[in-house]
Amino acid sequence: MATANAWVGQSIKRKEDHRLLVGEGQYLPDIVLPRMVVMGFVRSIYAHAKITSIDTTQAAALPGVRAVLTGADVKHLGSVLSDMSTPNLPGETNRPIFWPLSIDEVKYVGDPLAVVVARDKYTLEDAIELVDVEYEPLDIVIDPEYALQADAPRLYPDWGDNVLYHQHIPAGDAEAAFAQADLVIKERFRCHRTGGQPMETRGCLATYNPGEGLTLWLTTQRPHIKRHLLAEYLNLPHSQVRVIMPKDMGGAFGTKAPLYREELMACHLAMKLRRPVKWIENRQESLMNVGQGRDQIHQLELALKKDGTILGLRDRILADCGDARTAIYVGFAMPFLGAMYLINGYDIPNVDIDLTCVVTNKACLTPSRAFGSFAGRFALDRAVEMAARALEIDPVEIRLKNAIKTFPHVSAVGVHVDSGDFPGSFAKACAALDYDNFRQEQSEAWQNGRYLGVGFSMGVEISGVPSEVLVPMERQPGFGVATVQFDAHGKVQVAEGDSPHGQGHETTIAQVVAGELGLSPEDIYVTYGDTHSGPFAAGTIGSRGASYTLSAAVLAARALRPKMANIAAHLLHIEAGEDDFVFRDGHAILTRDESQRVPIAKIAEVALLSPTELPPGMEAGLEHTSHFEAETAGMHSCNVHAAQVEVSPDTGEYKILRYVAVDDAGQPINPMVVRGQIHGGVAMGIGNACMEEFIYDENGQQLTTTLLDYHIPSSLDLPHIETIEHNVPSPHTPLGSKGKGEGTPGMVPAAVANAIEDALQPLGVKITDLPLTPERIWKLIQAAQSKD
Amino acid sequence: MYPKAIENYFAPTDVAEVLTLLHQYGEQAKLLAGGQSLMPLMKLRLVESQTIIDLNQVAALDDIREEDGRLHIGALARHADVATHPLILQSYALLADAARNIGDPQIRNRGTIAGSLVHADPSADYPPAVMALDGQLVVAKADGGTRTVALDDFLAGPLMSDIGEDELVTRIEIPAPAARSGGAYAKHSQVAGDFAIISVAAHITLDPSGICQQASIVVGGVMPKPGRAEQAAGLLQGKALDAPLLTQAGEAAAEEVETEDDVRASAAYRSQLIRVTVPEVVRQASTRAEE
Repeated sequence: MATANAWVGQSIKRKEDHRLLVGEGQYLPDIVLPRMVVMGFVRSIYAHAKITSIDTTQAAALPGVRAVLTGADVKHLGSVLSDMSTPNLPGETNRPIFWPLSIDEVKYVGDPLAVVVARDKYTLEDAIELVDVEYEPLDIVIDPEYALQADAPRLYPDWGDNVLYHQHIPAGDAEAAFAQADLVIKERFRCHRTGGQPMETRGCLATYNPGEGLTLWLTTQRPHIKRHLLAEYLNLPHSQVRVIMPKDMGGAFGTKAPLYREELMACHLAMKLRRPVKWIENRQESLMNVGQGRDQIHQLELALKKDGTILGLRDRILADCGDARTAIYVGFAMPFLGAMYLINGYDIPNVDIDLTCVVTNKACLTPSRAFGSFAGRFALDRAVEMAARALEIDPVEIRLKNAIKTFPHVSAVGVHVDSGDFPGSFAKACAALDYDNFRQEQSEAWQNGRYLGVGFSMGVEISGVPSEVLVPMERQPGFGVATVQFDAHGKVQVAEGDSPHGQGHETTIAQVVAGELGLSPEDIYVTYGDTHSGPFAAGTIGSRGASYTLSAAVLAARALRPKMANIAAHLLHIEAGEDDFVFRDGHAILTRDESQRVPIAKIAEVALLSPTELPPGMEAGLEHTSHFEAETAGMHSCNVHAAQVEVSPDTGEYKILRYVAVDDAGQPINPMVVRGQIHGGVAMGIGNACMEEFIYDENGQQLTTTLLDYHIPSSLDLPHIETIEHNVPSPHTPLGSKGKGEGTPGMVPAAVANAIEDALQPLGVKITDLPLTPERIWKLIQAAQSKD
Repeated sequence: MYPKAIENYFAPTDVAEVLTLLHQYGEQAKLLAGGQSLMPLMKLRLVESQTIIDLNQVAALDDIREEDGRLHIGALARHADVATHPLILQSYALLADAARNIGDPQIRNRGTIAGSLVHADPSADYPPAVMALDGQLVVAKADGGTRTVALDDFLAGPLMSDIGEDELVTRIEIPAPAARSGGAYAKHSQVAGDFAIISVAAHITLDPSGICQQASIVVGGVMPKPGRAEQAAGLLQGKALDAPLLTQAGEAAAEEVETEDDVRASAAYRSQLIRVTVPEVVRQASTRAEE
């Protein structure tokens, strides 16, 4: 008999935290193998240059150095990108040809052009300094608009231009919509280069022997996919490649999803040297190479009726993808998905979106939470705000007028949104902010020379990506998978296909499996990360934990119950099936006579240790693997965020007085874990929107390669984040749960920008560019005042 | 992010021994106090020093006390100690304000006042605060002598200070403020604990009727070193510190202190921050003077 899952909705403490808090986490650097050597890179100091010579003699002669390789030594490996590792999207794609090390030409500051292997990290850095590289600087392209010009230097001469990817996404009749419009908002929005910077940088440890093949410990969000691509690139049988994500990883935020040149290099060297090769990226390398996301220009037009109804949207998006040399995403999968999600929570029937992705002499874009859509959501929610002001409609009212009203909903460009409730979410946000009285408070404040403002944003966040989208986009499945397996002592191992690193799976999956099987979360242990001991899946990406993977675990646990019931009935010498039992308090309990019960540990023991007690003919063992695929082309979480700010007109400095996040987790499994995801997402969003920026100078030198210059906020820089649940259970998951966290940063920039602009209404500023630094706000105030 | 090999490491236990080692190793030696600037610079290989003289075992170099009408702060006093010392909180609150603004708790637990002043970053927190208090450095020399130098003169430019190869700063001395004195410090930075875009330190002495008898205003976050806003301070002298006067002082400071563009902010924005911050800091200083 199906019963409510007793552990769902319980904010139990995370099972992960004890080991992390006492310093017993197992991270990549903790793994040490005999005969291990360390690897490091010589990286370009120019943004674009011919390599005229590389002299490795001095470095190779340094005692303790085991190998020095240059591009010429890896050319035989072939180009990194294959069909399997390049997004397969509609539109026109140019595919860059490149190797783990650059050959003849470097294309950004930080581009790896030689590799050194040494016995220790000190010798390694000494040797890296001794590699003598001569360059002949070439003309560079830093500005994406310049990249499009006919006279711009080319990164890939065989392409004919600098366009990596182009896609036109029309739907409905945008032309007619604009012809009927009472108001057209037309604006250029710019989102800077920013993204994720995990506490733990990238790293790997590769070891090889001809018997077992290659084993790679890797900081990755997707061990199975990496295995698959490594086998292809290194020309090894799939059976000879094992990828392991260490038990713990210090964050990823998207940056550990691509396949990188450095990890290919480590594998090649381990095979060549027959020694374990370890690589730990340092912080400078990390800031030079990964976490650089967003970076889009939107020329956005919105057609509206007088009453605020949005009739249509046009957007010309230009994405600066950098050098485009990482596998799987190749710098353009993010802007593509961003374009598909541009209209987001708005029901806009007529759209004309044109996306151009260009290459420049910068690091390749890497994924970051709010995958591709951070910039577009800023642009659209800003444009809606401008329309509201022009039409003198309340910002909440105009959003409710245009928000998706009925579910399921298929957007004009084909995004399926399963469930949500925008009016309910807005009502909670407004109540929390006492919005009805705010306008009065605001005008009184203005009279006293204080500038208070409120800003809203709304969002449809991915709750896992289905196979229907993931197969064409990244050539990988979207299903969630989990094996639920009793051990002989009645404890349950759940082997999942994802590789969590902060999402709390060990806790939440334990909760749901415990609930399904009548056990306690302490009885459940979750394993992951090793391609040789867990089921194949795409990895921890796109909020798929609570939507797909956890659902697979639920289904696998449920699939065990008939067998458990049959064993229990046999042990009780009665005729009964699954529907006659309830699983509770560690027992299979006969519902018609609760005194008739069998400990679940006993059932497991019979199934595994003493199969002689099994019903005649029953197979031993108690385990099941489920692959969960939702019966829809898209599951989503619908959210409303609001910020209240006070701005100093003298300095442009502002304080976020309130930040209210109304989020839809469907059915939260562990509300505390959900809150943690939202807190982290908002913090990242505030950092990205307000403080962080990867800055390149006119020579393509990156000026933000230490954390002294790349400004990640600390708790002192962040407001109290108020989280409010407004849950609409997903109709497509067994428990109604939804994935949370991935898209959250995308809610932030418009909420804060709208609030700042709202506060400064009497001064008439218009915010179109990020980041929202005080100086930028001050300059807008100055410009507005000089216009008067 | 790993330093070059270090040939010699010494951990002397008294000042004389430090000076002997400095004399012996000269320019190839680096003094390690809190290590909050030196260690990152060594890891980035921007400083490649063959000899490290670790000062952390030197006795009695972290004292904080008042003596002969002056505050003595030992060279090795950590920022966290300066930020919380009762004597400093009571009479030199401006200095505690500055110490509290430095970096994060880990940095404040290790970093030292002399280390910061010798490092001479124009955007660091201590220099404007110590200048506003007319602080001096006591420097011990290898030949056995000592000299005393005002911080204004000691700071030579960005990351340049007037310290000889064979010299050691042993303490900072600050004259005890007159009655009815107060100081304040404020910083504008991109994130908490970061170096200043602009910082302002002010120290004020009032007479019993509230008239300003003495004022000093120093601005950090400008090149080549923190700048004294002397005209602004002069405007305050002999006057009651009312709002229009403070606004005027802000204008004067913005006018006289030269600012530059860098990756953190433009010159114009820096000037604006000076204009706005000077009145606020002076107001807080005078409030404290009246307490």
